[in-house]
Amino acid sequence: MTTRFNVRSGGLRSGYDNTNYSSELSIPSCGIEDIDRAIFHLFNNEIPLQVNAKDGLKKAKVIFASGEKWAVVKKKKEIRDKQGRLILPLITIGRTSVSQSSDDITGRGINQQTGELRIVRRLSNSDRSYQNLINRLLIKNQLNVAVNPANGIEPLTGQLTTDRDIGDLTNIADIADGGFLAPAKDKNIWETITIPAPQFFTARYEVTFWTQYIHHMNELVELFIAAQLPQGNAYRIANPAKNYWFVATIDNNEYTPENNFDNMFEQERIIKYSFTVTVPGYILATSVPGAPVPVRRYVSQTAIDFQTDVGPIASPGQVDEADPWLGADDPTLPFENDLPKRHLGIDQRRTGHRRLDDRSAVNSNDPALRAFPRGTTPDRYMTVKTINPDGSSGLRRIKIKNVNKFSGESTFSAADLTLGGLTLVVDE
Amino acid sequence: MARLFITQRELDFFSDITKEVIKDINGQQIYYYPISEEKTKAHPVYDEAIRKIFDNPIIIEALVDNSFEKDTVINQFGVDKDYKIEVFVQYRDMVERGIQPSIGDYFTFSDIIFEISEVRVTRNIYGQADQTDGWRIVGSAAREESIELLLKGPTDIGYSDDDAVQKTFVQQRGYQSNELGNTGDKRALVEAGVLDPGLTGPKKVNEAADETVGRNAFYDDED
Repeated sequence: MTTRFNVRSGGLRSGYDNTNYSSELSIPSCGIEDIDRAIFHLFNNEIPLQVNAKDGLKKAKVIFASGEKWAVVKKKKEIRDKQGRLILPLITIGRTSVSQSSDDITGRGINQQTGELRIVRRLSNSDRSYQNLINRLLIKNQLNVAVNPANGIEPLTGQLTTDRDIGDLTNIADIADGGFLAPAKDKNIWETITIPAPQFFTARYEVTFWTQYIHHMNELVELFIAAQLPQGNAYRIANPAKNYWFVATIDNNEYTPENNFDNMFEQERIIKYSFTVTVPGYILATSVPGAPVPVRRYVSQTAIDFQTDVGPIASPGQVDEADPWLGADDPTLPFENDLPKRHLGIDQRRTGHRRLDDRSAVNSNDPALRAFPRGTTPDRYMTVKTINPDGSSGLRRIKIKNVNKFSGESTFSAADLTLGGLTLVVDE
Repeated sequence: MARLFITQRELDFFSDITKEVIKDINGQQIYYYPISEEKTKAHPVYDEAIRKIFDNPIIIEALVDNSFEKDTVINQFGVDKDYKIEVFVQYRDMVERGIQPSIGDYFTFSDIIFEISEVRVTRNIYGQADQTDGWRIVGSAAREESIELLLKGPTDIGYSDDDAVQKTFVQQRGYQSNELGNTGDKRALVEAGVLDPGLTGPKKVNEAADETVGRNAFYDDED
């Protein structure tokens, strides 16, 4: 099963493609709980919701529905009286939904389709060692800085030596004149730290104000509306512990009464106003159990060195052959060349490619090939003559991944590790 | 009934008779585990705690409803069993021992852990406002992953623990302690001097020392 965590690039980058994660860096995660805390903080601390009670100002208690029974009964004693009934005024908050619509996916600028976010690019820890190796300032008398004896510099006992060209910065006039701090960051090892692009979603909350008197409700609603940001119907909320912030809006800017005035015969008179708060949120660098480490690092390459080994290709062979294994596998069928000419058109081994355009889509007489997806290009192979380690010659078929006709560049499949004797060496 | 006829002596008599039935005859008990709200760290917003810290468990003598397996539901997820239990405790006994059962706390009976979902006053004694008869505690079976408790016996005959089957029952009869430990029991009529303490003391039912007897020893059976 493929998820964002294990899909490998070939299309959209997931942000988890790079398997080189950083264990020393961590980014505070942001998720659903941060929005819950931010909403709770808004009503409990940010907006001083209180009423004029008979013995002074009385703060409206805020509860996030619903806690465990013991916690609601024991820890929240201040919201209940001796008989266990709720003390009003009270504000209850309940999350009603978490959803991800197409607006969340495509309407926020960036999204999970953009792969990863680069959050910092800095010099790698190994850059210092590399700079000592390439010795751009031509420092001569420091043991941990390499010199090249070929340049006429006699190394000290125990000093690093190298056969690289060193001292390239000394050719720059400003630096040669003493400007050693002039910016020259073209030969460094850079470390890039990335995190996966956030996933956006929308959380909705049902908030209810409970009071015993209408004028108490007026005070709460009035203060709440007055606390909106200048652009109207918006609150900037933030989890105080992490400072990730969000913008909360009231659906339709409407506050709906849920009073029990028509049933006060059996029930106590309670004033209730409820409204829905919508908060566009995001999941960033999630650290929930099971999620991979989100912080990934890239380290730049400084040099790539191709080397060849023994056993070169004896002859280039025929390039861009059709897959010799396509077609019927019935061993009793004759090869094409063995058939009389009049039977050529019905040979079941023919792949169906036209002679002038060997890369056309498959149009085969072979019943098995007719099931090949329309318009797909079958694999191409190159036949090469090689020299085996024991000295004998042989033929190998190497799968061609890509051929660039303009540059003459062919890319071979990495599955064939020896590539007929070619080896790749990547050097930092 | 009018206070003219139901006086404190009658109320003490009701209390003592109730205690005698529950503690000296019936012998059912639950282990009550109150959650410590001071020691348990709850989430500041969600009011929930994955790890709960309990105060010391308390043995409460009670009348327990026998049929405590409420429902068996068979659905697409398989068989789900629901246990509900009703426990009746005497209010006066709880007041004297300073116990206040609370919704959300846990108790065990047999080998099942229950969470208290309801604590309801049964009635007032003959309508007197200050005299509560008892509490009806309703418990629902708790999920094992939400709580870890060491079950105390008696649990079930299928277990091999030493205390899985109760072999000894000792009455309390108003004595502050018996051979099983402190009881905290008191009988109002005895304290008021209306009645004398039981002459023969708490009686015991246990396995007979004489193997030929072949049954529990009580009354005139010799130990």
